Parts: sequence; structure tokens; C-alpha cells
Amino acid sequence: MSRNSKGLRGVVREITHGANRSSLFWWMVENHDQLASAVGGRHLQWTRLCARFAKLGLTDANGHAPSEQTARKTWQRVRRAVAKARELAAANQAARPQRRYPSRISPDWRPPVASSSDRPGGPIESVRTLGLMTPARPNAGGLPETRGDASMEFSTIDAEGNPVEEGKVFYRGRVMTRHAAEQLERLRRGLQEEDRFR
Amino acid sequence: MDDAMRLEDGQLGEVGNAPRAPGDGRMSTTAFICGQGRVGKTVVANTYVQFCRPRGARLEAWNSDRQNETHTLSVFHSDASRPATDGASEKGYWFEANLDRQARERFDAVLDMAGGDPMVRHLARDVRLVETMKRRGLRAVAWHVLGPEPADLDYLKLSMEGQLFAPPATLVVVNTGVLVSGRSAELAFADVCSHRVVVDALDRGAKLVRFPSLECMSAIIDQGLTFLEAMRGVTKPGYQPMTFLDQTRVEIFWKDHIPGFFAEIPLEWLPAMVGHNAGSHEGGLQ
Repeated sequence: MSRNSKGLRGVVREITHGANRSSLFWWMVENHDQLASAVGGRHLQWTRLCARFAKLGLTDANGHAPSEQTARKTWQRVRRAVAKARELAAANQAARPQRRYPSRISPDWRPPVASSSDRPGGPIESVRTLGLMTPARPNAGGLPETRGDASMEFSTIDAEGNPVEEGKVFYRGRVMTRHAAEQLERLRRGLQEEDRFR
Repeated sequence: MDDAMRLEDGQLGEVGNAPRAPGDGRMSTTAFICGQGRVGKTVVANTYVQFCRPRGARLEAWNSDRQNETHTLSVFHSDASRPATDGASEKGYWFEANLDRQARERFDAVLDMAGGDPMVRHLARDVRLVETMKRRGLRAVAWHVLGPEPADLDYLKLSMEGQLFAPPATLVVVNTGVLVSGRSAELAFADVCSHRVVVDALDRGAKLVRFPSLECMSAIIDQGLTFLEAMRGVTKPGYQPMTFLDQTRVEIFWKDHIPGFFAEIPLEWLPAMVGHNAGSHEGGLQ
């Protein structure tokens, strides 16, 4: 199993709560890209595929050889889970703070001096100076993330590769309004920020 | 009916109801803090009262939860109205009487409900609660408090089914305070946040907000302290004093995180407050 598929499998397992997934489900996760590219916009030949699955010993959640309907539904679930897992992974990568190595720090840099208001019994500094609950800060690309929607880009293609309805976007494995996607993404970033301090 | 006799919808509600009170046109709000058990509804309701009242809100606290005695809204706010018993009829009568009084006296209110309490859904079904309240100048604001478990969605699910209790002013409140320490908030809430019920609510215009966590919240709740008291190191008899670090945690929570949380909520979904400005959360209370 490649390192990438191990990571993907781990995130998919977390997303699906490691629920009782069949061997067919996990095989499809691990071979997702090959299956998707083999389809190439055409319909999958489920009859032939099910015969192949049987030869490989892959089963449904009940331990039986999967029917065409089961295989089809499992593939839909896998596509949603993998899409969600990749979104999470991409977002985590983008949000990771850029490291500044010593060779890139100015020799004139000095740590900030404690505020004169920092006397016993005095008010504390707002935590926004510590980067928590910050309304806006540069993202990994150096562009400001705003509370508005300008910086949020969402896919308009669903898991099957079809364009979604006008005015909707595809996010976290679901078709939804842009308003909903923006709310969810904003929350996700907030939770991610909170996780840095958990 | 003669057209000359026909009144505008905004002037008169259902037959027998008084016309909407004159004034600045602002609707009084009734915040329904609802959800399944153990998701932190009372903490949210308590915070709501503590935040709004010092800012001039004419806010009544209504506590319909008679299943909890230790961590109940009445412990923190002795003036909170409460039904005499936990019986469905008594609670319904108590709530309707309060709502009727609110329509006449024009104050704002917050209702803390027992976990999974169907009272409001039944009213919504029987008398089209949201619409009827609107005709009387009252804005129903649903606060659906969620924990990380899929079962925590049950109340929201039942409320949204057939638009039973789905006011335009709906907040989906993710409460990270119920998470076990060290658990990833993002992963813990991934399933709940991407659930069809939440997405449907957001698609209909609901707002998704995150109620901030406070590590020492249980110490405050157990003592029945307000956040200001906790910040100042007040200790009730029989309890250990809070450490100065915990006092600082409370100060950060109360002066920064909570104003930031309320700044995310549309102004018209909150009580009228003097000097409260959405987006501004400098300093908080002194």
C-alpha cells in the first residue's frame, strides 16, 4: 500500500468514523484514481466488475459477493468520502503556517517587548494579538482571508464529474448553496484554528 | 369583505389579535435555545443572559427545564420564570402566558428548554407559532445547539421536517465546549457539519456559529458563578479557589471570545442593546 493511499485511507476512516465498511469499500478507496480514470466519463460495466470483485474475494458489509446495485452504491459512497478527504487534506495543507527558517529571518529582528499595560492587576492583552480569533490574516499564499466570500473557491462539479445546478457548489461530498458552503468552510477554519491550541 | 374594510396584513394579525404595537418597528426577539440533552444549552442560555442584560437588554429568562436542578438557568438567574411542574399541559400554559405578556409588554426573552423537549414543535404544528409570533411583532430565533454526536442532530432534524419549526432566524450553534480535552474539534464535528440536516438548514438561510470553549467552565458552573465573578476570583464556600491562570482564561473568554461570538449574529436576531455593535468586540465589560 503506497504512503499516499495509507494517508487517504486514514482520513477516510476518520471521516466515516471507521464504520463497518466492506472490503469492497476499502478496495475502491485504494484504487479510486485508477477506477475513476478508467471510467473516463463512461458508465462503469458493473456486471463485469462484480465478477472481478468476486474473483478478488471482495465482499459487501455482510460478507457476501456484492450485487451490481451494492457495488454501484458503494462506489458513490467512496467517491463522496474520497472527495471529502481530499478537500480536508488540501485545506490542512493550505492552512499550515509557513515556516521561517533562521537563514531567512532578519538579523535585526528582536522579540516583541512586553506591553506597559502588563502590570499586576492590569487588563490582559486581547488574544487577537496572539493570533486567536483573528478576523483576517494572510493565508499560505500571502493573500488576506476575509470574512467575506471572496477568497473561498468551491467546485461546481459533483463526484460523478457532472456540473451542479446553477447557483450551487459541490463541497464535502454534497451539492449545496454557496451560502451553506461558505458557512461550513468558515467554521472548519475556525475549528482548525482552535485545534492548534488543543 | 369590502375592500375598504380589509386591513393590511401588517396591521392586523389573526382575528381577535390586537394590532402590532407602534414604535420603531423593531421586533422583540424570543431566543429558543434547543437541542438534545448534554449539548450545553444551559451554558449558552446563561451566557446569553449575562451578555445581553448589562448591555441594556430588557431580557427575561424563561426556564422550561424542570429535569435539571443543579445546572439550571434558575441557579444563575433567580428571576428566571419557570413552570410549576414538568407536565406538558402546565409547561404549555406557562409558555403561552409568557409569550402573551411579551407581545403586550415588548421585552426580549430567552427560553432554555429541556433536552429534546417537544413543546415548541407541538405549538409550531398547532398554531403556526413562528408566523403567529411575527404577526404580533415577535421574532422567533431558533438556537440549535449541537455537540459532535450524530444523535445531537435529532432535534434539528425533527424541527426541520416539514418546516415544522424553522424560523428564518435560525442559528446552528456548534458547541466545542462539550469536547473531551485534546480531541480534534475539526474532525469531531466533521460528520455533524456535513450532515444533510445541517446543510439543508444552511441552504434555507440558517447561520452556522461556533460557541467558544472554556477549559474551566465546569468549575464556574458547579459554583453557580457569573463569568465576571469567576474572572475576579470569587469562590463559593466549600469550593477550591480558581487558579490565576483559570481566571485569565475566563477573562479571555468573556472579553474577547464571547463578544466575537455575538458579533457573528445578525443584530435583528438579538435583543436591543445599548451600544452593541456587530463586528466590534473590544474590551467587553469592565
